[in-house]
Amino acid sequence: MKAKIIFVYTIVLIFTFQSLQGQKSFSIDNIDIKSSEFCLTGELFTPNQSIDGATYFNSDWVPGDIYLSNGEVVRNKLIKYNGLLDELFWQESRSKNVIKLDKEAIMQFHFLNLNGDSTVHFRKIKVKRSTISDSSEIFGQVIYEGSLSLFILHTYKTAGNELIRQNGNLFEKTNYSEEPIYIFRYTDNKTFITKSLSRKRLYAFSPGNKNKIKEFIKANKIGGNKDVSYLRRLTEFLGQIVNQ
Amino acid sequence: MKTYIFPLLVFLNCFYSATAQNRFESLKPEMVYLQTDRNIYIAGDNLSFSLYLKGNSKTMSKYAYLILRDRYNISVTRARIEIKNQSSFGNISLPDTLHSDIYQLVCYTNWMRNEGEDSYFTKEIIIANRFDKKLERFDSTLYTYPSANSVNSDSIKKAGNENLLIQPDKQIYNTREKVNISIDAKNIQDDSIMKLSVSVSEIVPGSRNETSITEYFNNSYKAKKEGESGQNQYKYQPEIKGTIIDGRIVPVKHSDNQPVSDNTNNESDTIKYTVLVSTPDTIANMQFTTADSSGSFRFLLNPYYESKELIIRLKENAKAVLELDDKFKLTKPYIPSDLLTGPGIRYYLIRSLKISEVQRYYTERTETNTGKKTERTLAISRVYYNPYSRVFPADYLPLPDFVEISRELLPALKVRKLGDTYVSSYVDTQNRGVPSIEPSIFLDGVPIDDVNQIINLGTNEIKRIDLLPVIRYYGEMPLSGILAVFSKNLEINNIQFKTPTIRYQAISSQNFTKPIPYIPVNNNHMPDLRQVILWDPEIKMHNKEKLEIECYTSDLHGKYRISVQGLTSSGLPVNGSSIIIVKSKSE
Repeated sequence: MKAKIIFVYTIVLIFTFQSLQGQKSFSIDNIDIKSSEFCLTGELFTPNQSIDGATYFNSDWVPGDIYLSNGEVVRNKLIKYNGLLDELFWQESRSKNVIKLDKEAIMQFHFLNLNGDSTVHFRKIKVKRSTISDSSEIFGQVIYEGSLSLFILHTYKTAGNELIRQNGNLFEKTNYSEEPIYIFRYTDNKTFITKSLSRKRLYAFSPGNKNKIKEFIKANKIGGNKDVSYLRRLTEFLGQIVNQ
Repeated sequence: MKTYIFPLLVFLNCFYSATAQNRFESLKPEMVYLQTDRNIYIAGDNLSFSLYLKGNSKTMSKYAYLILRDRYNISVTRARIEIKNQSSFGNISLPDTLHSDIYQLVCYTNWMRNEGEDSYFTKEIIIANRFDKKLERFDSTLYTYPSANSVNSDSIKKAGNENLLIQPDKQIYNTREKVNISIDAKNIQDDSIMKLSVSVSEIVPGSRNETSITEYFNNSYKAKKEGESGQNQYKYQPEIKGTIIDGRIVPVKHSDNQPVSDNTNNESDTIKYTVLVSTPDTIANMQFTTADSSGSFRFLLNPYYESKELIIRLKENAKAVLELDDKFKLTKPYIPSDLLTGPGIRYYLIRSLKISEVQRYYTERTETNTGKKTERTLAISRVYYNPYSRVFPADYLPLPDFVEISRELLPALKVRKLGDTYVSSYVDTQNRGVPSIEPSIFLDGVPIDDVNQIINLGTNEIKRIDLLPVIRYYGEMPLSGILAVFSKNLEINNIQFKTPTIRYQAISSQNFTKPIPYIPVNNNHMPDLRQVILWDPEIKMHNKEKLEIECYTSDLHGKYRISVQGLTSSGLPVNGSSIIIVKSKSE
């Protein structure tokens, strides 16, 4: 009996000793120097009127990595992107304040897990949206990258106004509906911008390849639902026929 | 039931052992080894070195610190060396005012400081001043210079533990003749890439053999295992990602502003102080960290701040001073050994001085490659990007002070006098919830205490004013608006801060430099008096290969040692040596 007790005590002692040894390294395994992380900069977001929740790309705060223009990466911050304002918001962890991040500082941002998808990321791209406007820097969702890349600008258009009552006061609320803009861009920055991916617009993209495009659309049975995998296949296909 | 307990315990034990082992791996001590191109120098020469670092590959230090000190423990030269893939090389210029004596090279990493100064790499070298013809320091060892072929047997012995085979194409060479050296690594089991440095230098009569990298690493590791833990357990962090600045907030006595030695914590001391780092620049910049309850703080310094003058200060006011850790501080005194005062040294020094004199006469000096540092993007820690408005006071009529400037040129900013002092606040015109408290004020890119420090600056002194009348966030630090003033003549240098402040010159790493290889010129009538005929610290070699390198003998006849030291990519030290004799054609 005594021998058994001694044995058990020895085992317990071994565990304790090893655990303590492991503890010694704790500080090294967790080198956490706050300033090692680059600081996100921005201003407190206090909108004059409430922003329509539908204009956010992600309605809930989602953890994401932010790649700064200076090459640094700020990881795992709660972020939200608003397509109407074309602004990225960060929920500061301590105060829970919403910070509108300085756009100049951001090169791209990645959502770590957006409804199970870890590939969703946006990049700041320079786009000249119309012949009369100057080019501006806008966050575009990166759909496909290759010899021909596809970005989507999540823009919104006004879809009428409605009167709503809030706290006893009557407000006029503007409703928005999404109007994505598709930007096809070659590696030499030649760009094709379209609001629609209809057969006609795709013919306009490459007039010499009408038959091939027709075949592709037929094979992929394009309907109203243009999901990301279809868009990727389409961009890859368009890149191939143009390079041929 | 009982039958399961024992295997379970054994399993748990194994699991814990494995975990502990992994953790221990991250705590593995580091060791550095320094090879120099030679051991005897003339003041004003360049000392070329190569450095090898052994430790845990995952948490390997990025920087090493090198100090050259004299027998009075005064640092002659200090440098920070950047380590890339466990090795580095470069040179330090020896001041030509150094007196003739034995000096000590000390090299270590920040992580090694936890093990105490005994774990540092040390090496003695001799430096002679070119005007010191008598060399009295070495008088006691006065010895007739032996002929080139009768050098001390100690100095020509092969170093132990050699695992590289070094073979010159012959044993005896004429002056100015090509030497082909083959390096064979067939004895090395480790199948990885080797980084080697090769030195072919004149053997100093009477000097002892240097400890090879293999001997050094093996013996040091054994000693460390026996001695176990160091004295400053994990006080210093390994500089894996960049420069670490450690510091402390030391409370001062109210009467004479003397630091209080003991860490008596008052109630006020429990405040978590914020420490700010910035540098005078045309961009408002800042890094910040919070001190712990004992007042200690630590920064991983942004590379942008390297080699700049930093202003490190507390955000909050406190009766305290800031103390920064001096990484170059050595406490253990250096006691010169008699290793390098053997017979023949003095005569060798006299000869070297004469050679140096001749070389100066012919303006012959070893050229060094101006190597490059590791290229990295310098990311500035910007506090803001675009201001709401930017004012150039020079565009307007001259105004005598900042009160007038704010009244006439900055409608968003209100500067009022309250008693003897001034206070500033932004006018919340856009109803953005800007509180009527003083905004964060930056002068020449550096955060200052309040508007009183810039109140006397008029339009003649100010170049530019940036205004951001909104609540901003810099990381987790809220700023109630920003007012950034940029002066024409760096007025920040004249500011007296109200909170504890320290100015600190951040160091940068040395460039990777090596001498330009000697290439013989036909019919060259200039004397070639190189005592180091080859120094190449940047040789890469795959295992199981044979590498051929070449160099040229000089006009100096004598015995030369080929010394090859290095490290494989998996951390195995490798070394080898050989001796060649150079005779003049008439001999």
